[in-house]
Amino acid sequence: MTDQHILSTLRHELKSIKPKLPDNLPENSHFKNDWQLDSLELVEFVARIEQSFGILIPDEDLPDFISLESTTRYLQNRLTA
Amino acid sequence: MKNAPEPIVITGMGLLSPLGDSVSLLWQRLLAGESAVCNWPDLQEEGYRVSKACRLDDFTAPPLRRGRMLGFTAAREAIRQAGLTLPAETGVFIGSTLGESRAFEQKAEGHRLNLAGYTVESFTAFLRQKFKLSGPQRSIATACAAGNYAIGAAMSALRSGRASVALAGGVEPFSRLALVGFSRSRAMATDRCQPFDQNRSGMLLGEGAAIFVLEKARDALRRGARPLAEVISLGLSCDAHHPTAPEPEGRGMATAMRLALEAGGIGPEAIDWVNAHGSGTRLSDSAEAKAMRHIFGARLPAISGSKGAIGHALGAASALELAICVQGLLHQTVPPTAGHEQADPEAGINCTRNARQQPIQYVLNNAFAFGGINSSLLLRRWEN
Repeated sequence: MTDQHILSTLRHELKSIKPKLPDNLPENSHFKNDWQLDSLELVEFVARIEQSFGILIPDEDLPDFISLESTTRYLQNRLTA
Repeated sequence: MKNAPEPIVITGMGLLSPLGDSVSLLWQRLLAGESAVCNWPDLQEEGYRVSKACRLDDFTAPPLRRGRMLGFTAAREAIRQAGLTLPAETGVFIGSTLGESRAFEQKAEGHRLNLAGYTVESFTAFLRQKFKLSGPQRSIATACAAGNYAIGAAMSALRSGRASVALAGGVEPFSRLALVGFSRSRAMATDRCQPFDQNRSGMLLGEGAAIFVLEKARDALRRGARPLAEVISLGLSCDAHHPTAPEPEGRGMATAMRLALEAGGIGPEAIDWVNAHGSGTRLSDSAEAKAMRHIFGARLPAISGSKGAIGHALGAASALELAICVQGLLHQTVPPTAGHEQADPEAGINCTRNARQQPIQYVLNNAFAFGGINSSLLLRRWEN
């Protein structure tokens, strides 16, 4: 799966959770600090990633989910492992 | 001067729990330090993140009627123990988080979501129909505090004269919907539930039902019944802080306990035992610990929790735990806290590790829920 495909899925899921987010959310912007995603929104985001990519994400991996860039890197590692 | 409220007593109780289908069996196994937690192959095969839970392995009912059958079976036993032919005007007050969870879960299998006949009201309606009752009714969906709320509603109806007898309690069939919800919100333990323990990692789900017969003490005594315990007061509050996380200082939880004590006309020093909510999550236990220290100061009463033994039965949890409180009052014994091994130094709550015999006059039964819903039920030993 390409980075672009992952990014596009992640942007789609984020927009579904928080429609006011820009369409082209910068890859390195911080979900919490820059876009004020709260803990419930982040939990929903991770749940949607699990659903979309068919994986289970353990608690200890949650710190990786801070930006599109870090999330994409995490998913690439998981999906190619 | 305000008149003392009419004493309300419990004269019958019936339950189905993961540690037994009777009050005496649950009590016996609880005192022995047993836990019902085990791995469920069906949950594992279905791909749930957590496949450990406390379930009733020998209770069978059609999946869409499991809750109502749990409630009915528990109620039948409560009525038998009370030795009472219920009058038609008996009130019915039932708490649950989801009702028949299976009705929601069918949506994931492609069925149309049709909740008619499956909400919490369906449990109440079923009991009214089966026992031919037409008195006041309340169906209460205040999540994990719903059992306490139902008992409070019954107490209020009896004191106001709207009902002369009440059937009240909590019902919760095992919920895969809750399993997914709590897993995704990262509130579940993967192995076991350890209330107030430094290694606690979350809750595990339970299921069950506990139903009680409540009446005015004078009515019970007049007909020669034996009151099991007196229900004194219910303190309620809402954190208004966060949809799921408790207010971290436990202010709302403390308010619920304080209001129960005030309504009961006693101070914190009179409390001999707190049956804590003790869900085993980092946040909830931490907040409850602060709330208890705020109310009781350095002199903490005996504190126990049952969710390490029977899991968290959501809307039925505080009803099942009410039965444990009543047993404790009858036997003057605080049960052990399964899963509590090393007290979290930050929380500073040393729960009972073994059954402890001691004088118990008053016990508080705490139950807190998502939404910042807090409740604390005050009970007193019944003495002739």
